[in-house]
Amino acid sequence: MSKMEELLQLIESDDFSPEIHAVQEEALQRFDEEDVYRT
Amino acid sequence: MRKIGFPQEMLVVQKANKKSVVLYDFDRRRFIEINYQAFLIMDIVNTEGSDEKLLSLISDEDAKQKIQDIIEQAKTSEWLVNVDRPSLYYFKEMRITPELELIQWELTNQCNLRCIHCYNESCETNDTLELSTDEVKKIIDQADEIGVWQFDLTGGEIFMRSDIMEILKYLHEKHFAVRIATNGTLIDDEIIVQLEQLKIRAYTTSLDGGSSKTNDFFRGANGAFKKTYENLLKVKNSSIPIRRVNVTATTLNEHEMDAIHSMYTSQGIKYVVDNIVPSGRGEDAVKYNVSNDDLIQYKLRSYMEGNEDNYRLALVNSIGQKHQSGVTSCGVFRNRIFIMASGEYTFCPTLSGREHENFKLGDSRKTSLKQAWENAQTFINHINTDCGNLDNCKYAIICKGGCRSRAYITSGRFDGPDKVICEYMQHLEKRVLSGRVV
Repeated sequence: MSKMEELLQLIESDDFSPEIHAVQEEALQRFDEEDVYRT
Repeated sequence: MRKIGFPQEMLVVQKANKKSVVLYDFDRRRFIEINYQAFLIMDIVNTEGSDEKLLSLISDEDAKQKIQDIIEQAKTSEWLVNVDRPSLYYFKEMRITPELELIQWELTNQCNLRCIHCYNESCETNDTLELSTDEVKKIIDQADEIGVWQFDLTGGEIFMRSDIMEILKYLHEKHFAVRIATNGTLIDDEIIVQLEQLKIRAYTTSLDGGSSKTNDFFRGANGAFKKTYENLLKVKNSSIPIRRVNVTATTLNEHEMDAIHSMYTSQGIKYVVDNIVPSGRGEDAVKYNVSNDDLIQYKLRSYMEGNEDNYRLALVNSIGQKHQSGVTSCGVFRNRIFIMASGEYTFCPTLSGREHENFKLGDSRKTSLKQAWENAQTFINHINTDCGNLDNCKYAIICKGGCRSRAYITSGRFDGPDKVICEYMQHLEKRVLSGRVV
């Protein structure tokens, strides 16, 4: 199955919710990194 | 016609649940985690060079809008960029759960310096039997097979190893994102160029003073300050990002803390301040530690530089949120493993066999990386790795229990508190929410 076919299948599945959810999380992750807690 | 696609040198790491992927851009040294459906859309655009064909095949208006939104977000955040050709990205698959993402590796205990607080007692005469080049490569191969994608290399001093460039090249060939920690005294212009070519993800170094006098006494070698600082500035002018400079606050350099702050902030270099951990030679050196109160003030000042908004946001967002059990501040116990210079697998530099027999996870000469990670899970599943106060603490979502090593070393308990971070969070809240600029 090609990527295009796979995507079309996902769209038809009623479970289509593409997310770039971590654009903001990336900044928070930098903040969270162990820098604050380095021993 | 101008095309769009992924950044040219990119790694795609599929998570074990196959529902999300991590993208890592070797040129810009940044990563993002997105769900698989978003990746699929971006991947099709990368292959096609545009979104035209994709959008023309979608009749469902709602789906079309979602796809357009993703493409727009990807363009804005520069994960889809103008390119001449599609990115032939590298692909890795995380094959074990819990996912092991990062290997922190003390490649050697050999060091040209002799710092009085060194937790692993590194020096030129250290006789730890370190792993051979072939043994190192074997572990790298094992890491590749199970989907690890990040390495942090430290020592000792990694540039004391005659094969260090060979190791770094091998890691690059295997498409790992590699950060290095070095005292910066053994590198030169040529090495810095090579590190750039190898797309080293980040450079960390340490200076324990604002002058040769204080730093070189602490680091046990005349001339160390000059070399480390000169090379730091050279790296700053290269394409290699500086992750941070580690600074130990002591009664010997306390009078220089203002100068140290200016030294780094004027160059736009991040620095972090900490105290001496009573491990290795540090056991005798803790007498030089500043008070917790002073340490917290130095920490606040270094972290606050340019970060006030992030702190404020994190504190405000933390209200009413519950900490997720098992999530630690640095990832220890969760997604990383540490390899000592002797080749022994363990949790972290100061939660190792040096601290407790139970932290030994296997000798890499006899135990596979996968097995060591399974051994880690056996241990983790039998103890509470969270701070015991997480359920009752309003800072838990941010501090995540602080440093579990410091908590264990100072309290003798796995679920003990990291008192430095407890106090730090209280000070942080007061300062940030009152709007004071530190």
